[in-house]
Amino acid sequence: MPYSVVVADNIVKIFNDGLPNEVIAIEGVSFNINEGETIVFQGPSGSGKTTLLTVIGCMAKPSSGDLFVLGSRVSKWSEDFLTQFRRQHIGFIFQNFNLIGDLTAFQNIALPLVPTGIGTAELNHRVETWADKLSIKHRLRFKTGILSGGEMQRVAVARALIADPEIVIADEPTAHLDTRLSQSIMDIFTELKFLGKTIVIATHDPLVVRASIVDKVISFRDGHIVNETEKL
Amino acid sequence: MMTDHWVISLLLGDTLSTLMAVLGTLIGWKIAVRWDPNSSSQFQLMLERKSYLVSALLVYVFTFEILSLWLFILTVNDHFPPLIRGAMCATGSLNVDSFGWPTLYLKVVVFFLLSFWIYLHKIDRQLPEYPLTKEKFLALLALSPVILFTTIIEFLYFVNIKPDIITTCCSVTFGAAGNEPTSVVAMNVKENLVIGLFYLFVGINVALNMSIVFFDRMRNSVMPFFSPVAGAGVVVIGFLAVIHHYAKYIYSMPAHHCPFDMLWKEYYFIGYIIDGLLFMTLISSFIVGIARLLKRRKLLEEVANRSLVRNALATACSTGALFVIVTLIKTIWKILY
Amino acid sequence: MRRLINILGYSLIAMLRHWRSTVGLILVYSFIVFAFGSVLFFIEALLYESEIVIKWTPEIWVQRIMGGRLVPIDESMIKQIKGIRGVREVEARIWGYYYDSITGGVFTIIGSDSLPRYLKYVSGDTTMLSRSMPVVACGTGYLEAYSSGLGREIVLLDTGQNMVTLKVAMVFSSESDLLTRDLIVVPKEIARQLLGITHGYATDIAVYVSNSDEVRTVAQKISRRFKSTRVVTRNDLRSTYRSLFGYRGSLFIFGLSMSLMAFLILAWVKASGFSSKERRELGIQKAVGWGISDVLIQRFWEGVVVSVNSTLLGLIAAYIHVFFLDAPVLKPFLVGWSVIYPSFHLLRHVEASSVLLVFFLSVLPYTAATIVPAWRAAVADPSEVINAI
Repeated sequence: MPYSVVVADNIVKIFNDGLPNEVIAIEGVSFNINEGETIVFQGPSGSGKTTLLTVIGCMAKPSSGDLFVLGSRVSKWSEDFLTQFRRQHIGFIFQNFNLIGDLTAFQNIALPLVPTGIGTAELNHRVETWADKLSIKHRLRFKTGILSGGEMQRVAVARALIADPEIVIADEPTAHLDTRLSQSIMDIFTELKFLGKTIVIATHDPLVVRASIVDKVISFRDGHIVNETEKL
Repeated sequence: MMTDHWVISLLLGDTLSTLMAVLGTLIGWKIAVRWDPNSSSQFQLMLERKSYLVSALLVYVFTFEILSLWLFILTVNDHFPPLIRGAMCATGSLNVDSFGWPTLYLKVVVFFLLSFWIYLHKIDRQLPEYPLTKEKFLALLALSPVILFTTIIEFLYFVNIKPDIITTCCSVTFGAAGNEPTSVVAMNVKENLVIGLFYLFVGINVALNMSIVFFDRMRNSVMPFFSPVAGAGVVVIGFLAVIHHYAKYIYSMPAHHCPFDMLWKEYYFIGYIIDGLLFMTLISSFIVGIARLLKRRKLLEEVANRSLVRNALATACSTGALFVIVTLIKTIWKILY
Repeated sequence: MRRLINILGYSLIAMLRHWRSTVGLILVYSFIVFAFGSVLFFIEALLYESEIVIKWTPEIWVQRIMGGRLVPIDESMIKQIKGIRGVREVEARIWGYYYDSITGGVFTIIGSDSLPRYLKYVSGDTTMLSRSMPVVACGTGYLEAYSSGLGREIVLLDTGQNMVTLKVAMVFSSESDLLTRDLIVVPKEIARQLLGITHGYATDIAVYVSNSDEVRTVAQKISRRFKSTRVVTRNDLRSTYRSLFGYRGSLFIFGLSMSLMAFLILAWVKASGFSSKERRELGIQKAVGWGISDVLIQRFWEGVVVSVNSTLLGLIAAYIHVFFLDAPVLKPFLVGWSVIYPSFHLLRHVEASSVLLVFFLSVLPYTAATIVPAWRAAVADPSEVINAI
């Protein structure tokens, strides 16, 4: 019986509830994600896939419905606890990398672990291990502002992985990238799948949708799931 | 006295702290009333966020109140005596008007209450649902009036000091050199009785709390509720024992019963150690009782149990340490003289 | 614990990156601490010194007041005072202030026929003084003013503008400057001549009491028996000094509190305002896993670093200002009435409790003022960053 790392049950997310500019971003969303699967959320912009990512990524709480991540009922948790949980178990790769240009690659990668009780030696070790895996070890001491696009991409991925999370979430990972970099990030994802990570990607890039590592594609429109396709 | 630097600083600091406490209470009360852990609405989220603010404010208040208590002691014990006629230590400073002793008592009470609140806060934070939020913020409604009241009394104390009044010092208050003691605390105390009771309470406290540490059955019974009683006993009797019996060995004078002089450098600040241990005993023994109460809630059981054991150990250790230290002082004195 | 240190490390790096605004804040803050600290150190040093001076005063001295002014007192009182129980010794004192019109200085003349035992002297011949020859023991103040020295002669004017020539037999060392700088010790007869005090009278009467607990009682007895006298005890002097210095100082401090208040408002505004860069950085932090308490701790460290450093800086500057530079700004204001005309250097004495007090007063209000802005930052929504360009 495959282990479900994410169980979403009738998730609803409303922004500005009660106010005149109320927006229902997602409604009645239910699905399962099993361990080791690579899932793609597909749909046009505004379809709610990014919002859903933030919810299952424990960055925002659903307005109603239940969410279980790695067996824990996170939909009822407080913000700080969610953050702690997210820090340990979920790695988020953002659309625009979202690195702090004035900090070095090392510091960017280490950032998620700073507010933990980790020792300096351990932290150094982890950063260098992941940097090595992503072939950017030689650029660790450079400020990210001066790195190339590909290098920044890999720093962002390393940062997401520094805590060795079980789940990796990526929001439009290939947007604004050329074909070569898009392919390289798909290679990284392949590597991650090989390491046993569960991957969730939101995209409207057909390159990603058609990638061989993808197990399931869930299509969204106007905040609802319209289709769920299992790839064989 | 209102132009004195120490006084201004203390009052400024305490006013600041009181303001923070009041602000925290006002916000916290609104939170407590509308708190709904089952709701995921924007409103509940905002309440949750506000609770972080109140907690931050109260941590500040707590830190400050500890410092303030210490500073107050320094002011009345070290700084005031040369300025007030007849005062040789804190006793004299506090006797100078009718608000002196109440200020000290209230400040100590505030310190204890805040310690308990911080404890509740720490427990609350250990679980993702923040289960004690409502209780925590309602408790503030009881806490901040005490803080406010204390600051007012402190203000009245300082305002009413007229340095040309001659005050009485410990020889009168605590009875020495043939003087009849005027303080209730000092009256009619038979030394041997006090020492005996002290040994008894120390024994009870250590035995009770160590059995709580080691035996599961003890933890689940009503025994932990007796820990505060035992702790209070140790502290009250201990305090009396120190000033009526052990003080003799600290001061090398048979009639010197002042509890404040031992905070001075001349006596190696031994007073701070003794008082520190007394505080610790009282606080941790009360927390044992609180933890036992919290254990009743399913959600809190594990967390409360852990803190029950930790604090039982703490109170047993501090009681033991207190006993060892005072006995050591007495023994060393007897060897030397 | 480790967590706090890690966040501290990050805060320091972050602050170094925005060093311009941080440094500006620290400078203003330090200045306020400097002003406050200078006043505090100065006053405490004055009190400390006055305490030293007070030690050498008699427990009680009796003065005669007429029309609100000090006049010579009848020496016949001495016998009666001696009879009061508890009195150890009674002494008529001849002393007064001598105004030197040439230098504009005011010096203290003490008439004594035996060298005060507690004062150090550099060199000289003690026996010379007791022989009632016109010799003098002089403090450094007068000698410096006239470039005179041991073995030389000085000329003083008596009340009838007649010149009195005295040979300097002894010089007080500068170590005892606090007590002796403006001092000129002459034989009693010459003192009478210089100060215009006739026989049978003295400037005041010093009373030494055997038991310090009885000072008050003896003083009361004296003032009851001799109606037109003012009886001053050592404690009265002590209390007066303390109140006086304390009062003046506190005025200053009230004024400073105002500026501190203004500064706190500035601190609040600064802590609240963000550049878009800082806002983005905060968003990223929160997005990668920094919780609300983590950001609060970061802001707390920022507050502590700024306030502790500013306070240290301000205190060091205050110390230098008061003890090395002689507090040029403060002195005229706080010591205006002093009769010690020749300049004096304050003894370097700082109470540990004063330093503690300044920290208390400085760090706590500042950190308090930053709590709400810090919280506002900490609860910012990270999902904004997700959607940001």
